[in-house]
Amino acid sequence: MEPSKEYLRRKLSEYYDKHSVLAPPRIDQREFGAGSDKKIDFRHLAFRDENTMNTYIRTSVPLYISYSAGYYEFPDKRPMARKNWQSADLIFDLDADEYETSCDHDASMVCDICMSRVTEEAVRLVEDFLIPDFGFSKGEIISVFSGNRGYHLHIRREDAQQLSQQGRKELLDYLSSRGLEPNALGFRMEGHLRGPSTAEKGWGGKIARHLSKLIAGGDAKELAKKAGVGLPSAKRIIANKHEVINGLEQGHWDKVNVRRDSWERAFKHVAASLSVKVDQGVTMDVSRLIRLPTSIHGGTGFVACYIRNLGKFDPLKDPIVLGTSVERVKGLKDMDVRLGDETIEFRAGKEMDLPEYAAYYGCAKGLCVVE
Amino acid sequence: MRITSLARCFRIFDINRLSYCVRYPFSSRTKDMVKLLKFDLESPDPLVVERAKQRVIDGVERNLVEPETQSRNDKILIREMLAFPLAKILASLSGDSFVKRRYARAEANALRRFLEKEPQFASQLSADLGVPITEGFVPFVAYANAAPEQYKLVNAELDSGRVRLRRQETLVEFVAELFRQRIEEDIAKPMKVPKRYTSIAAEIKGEVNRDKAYSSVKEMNLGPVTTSEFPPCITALIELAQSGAPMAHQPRFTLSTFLINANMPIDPIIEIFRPTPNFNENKTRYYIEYSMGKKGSGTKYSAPSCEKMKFYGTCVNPDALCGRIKHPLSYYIVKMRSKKQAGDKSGA
Repeated sequence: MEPSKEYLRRKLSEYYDKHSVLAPPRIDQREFGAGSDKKIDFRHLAFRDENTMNTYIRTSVPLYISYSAGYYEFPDKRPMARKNWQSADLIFDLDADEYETSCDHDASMVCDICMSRVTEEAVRLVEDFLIPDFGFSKGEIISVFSGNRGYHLHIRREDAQQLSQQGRKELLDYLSSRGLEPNALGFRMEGHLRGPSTAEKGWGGKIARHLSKLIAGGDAKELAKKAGVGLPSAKRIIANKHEVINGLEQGHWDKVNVRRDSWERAFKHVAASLSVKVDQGVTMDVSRLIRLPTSIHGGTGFVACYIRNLGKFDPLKDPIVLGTSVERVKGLKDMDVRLGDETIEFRAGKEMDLPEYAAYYGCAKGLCVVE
Repeated sequence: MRITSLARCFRIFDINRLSYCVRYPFSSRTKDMVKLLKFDLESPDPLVVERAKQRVIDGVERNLVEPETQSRNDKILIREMLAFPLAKILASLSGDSFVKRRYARAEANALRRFLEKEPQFASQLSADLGVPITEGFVPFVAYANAAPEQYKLVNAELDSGRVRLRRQETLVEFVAELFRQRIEEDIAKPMKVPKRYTSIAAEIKGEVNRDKAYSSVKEMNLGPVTTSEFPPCITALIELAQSGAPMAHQPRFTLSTFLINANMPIDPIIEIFRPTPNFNENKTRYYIEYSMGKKGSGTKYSAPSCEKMKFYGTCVNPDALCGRIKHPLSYYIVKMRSKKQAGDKSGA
């Protein structure tokens, strides 16, 4: 084993000796995976209770430990078909490297900019979709830090566990607005152009309300940009904004001289801007192994903690759990990293004394080695 | 027959009720009735077995199960009613995923046709299939699991975890899909039944003509090309060509390959393209002959599937039938078939 990996495992071993990992609900029906060279070196593991799981973690000290979103009759049997799959939690995975941001570091790193972008996306997923549209309560949406650069939302409500793969795909299409059809949402000619009103449920109302808000802003350029309509149309809309807004409340889309296809284009454009992006594969895969909450992510030393309030979560501070005793390290790369309340300046060839959690992070990310 | 005379004594088998049970073989009313009849799998009525077998074969080959619902003879209706659970057993025992899938789809199609005529039963039948509909709302999980392509969740009125089924056709389509999935689930499970059925199922597997299921327009002899039965995407492309607007390669390819495969002769196809800008008759003829495999590499090109059409953005104005097919030519085949059947009936 490389010396730094040995160091990482020693640190995790010290941590797990003092702390227990919480068992997921119905632990005896879950499959587990563990790994140190890769994220998953072994899978098909099963534990009957929290104690046996913690004993395993303490004795083999994997850098990564994950468990199945699915429930099985025989979680340790293989191949997969013999496990007899029963149902699966509904999982959403949001990862910082999925979004376009202004940061320029490589994909293995994170910073405040990309982390606040992914946090914002997770908050929108919860507050604009999962609660109002899908009817989940705040308490039913369990937010977990992935331990590195994103979030996992676990929904364990019984009916959601019954979603088939096709059903999960429908849900993903809803979130990404894929397959949205203006006609199906009520665009039609009844003498005049009719469409969804702002009071409508589902995407129709969402889009009408957002358009109405953009129009109320009164800025034609902004409207043209954010709704994807031509500037002349946008100007006409703004010039008649009160009539247009009142019309939208009734589902009347004919209050200004704008062609139907322009409105439909605006409709799709707004939908794209309001939709949220999650990792489709994770939600679709009902046999997926996912990071075990309250275990440590070996690639950062952060704990995959439960999050009470997503909007207030600081992903570069709140999941720090390793100690603060000082370790001497030698830098390998030049990189500034904020960890907790301070910014650590890693410099190639430079020796530094760092708190344990920062030394671990630096070693795991290849920014330094322990002397 | 013993059971029917017994039933007659108790006056439980009203003809109209029986016909309902035949149309909706999964309804709770039907189940009660089947239970009452105590159908004995050990010594079945051979006519029921024969009918069940035919039901599977018709379903697979013709995508059509055609239950006998019109008869005023209770014996016939009871036989038809009992044939459904037995047909499921046979489809399951065939162990052939092609047979199972096609059969389930055919049963769902039959159900859809009945429900389209009497949508008032849809709500009750949805409940019978385990999804109660309250005041027009259905839980989103049930909807998402059975959402037909043309009524995707993304286009539904979703609020607080419930989908509002505002239109009757959505409800009908939803119930048909629930039914299809239920049959697929039922016949996926292993069944413990007397041995004799295994050999009947093996016969089905052997007898079923897979080519028929895939038959092209040509083999079906649909008669002269009827443009009025074309799917909306192709109608739109014809209109586009006729309008004299410029046509990109993909729409051109789609339209010509569709028309070729629908058996339209070469000259009328050329006429369709005549109004397009820079039309050149010789080039167009060569292009069509090339697509037919008469020129160039000799490859006969097939028309693009719905999936490809969607990808290229040429799928427009999909209607209810579009949700049930995966290829524009299937749309045409289905339409022509039902037209032919209607014609046969009125002619007879």
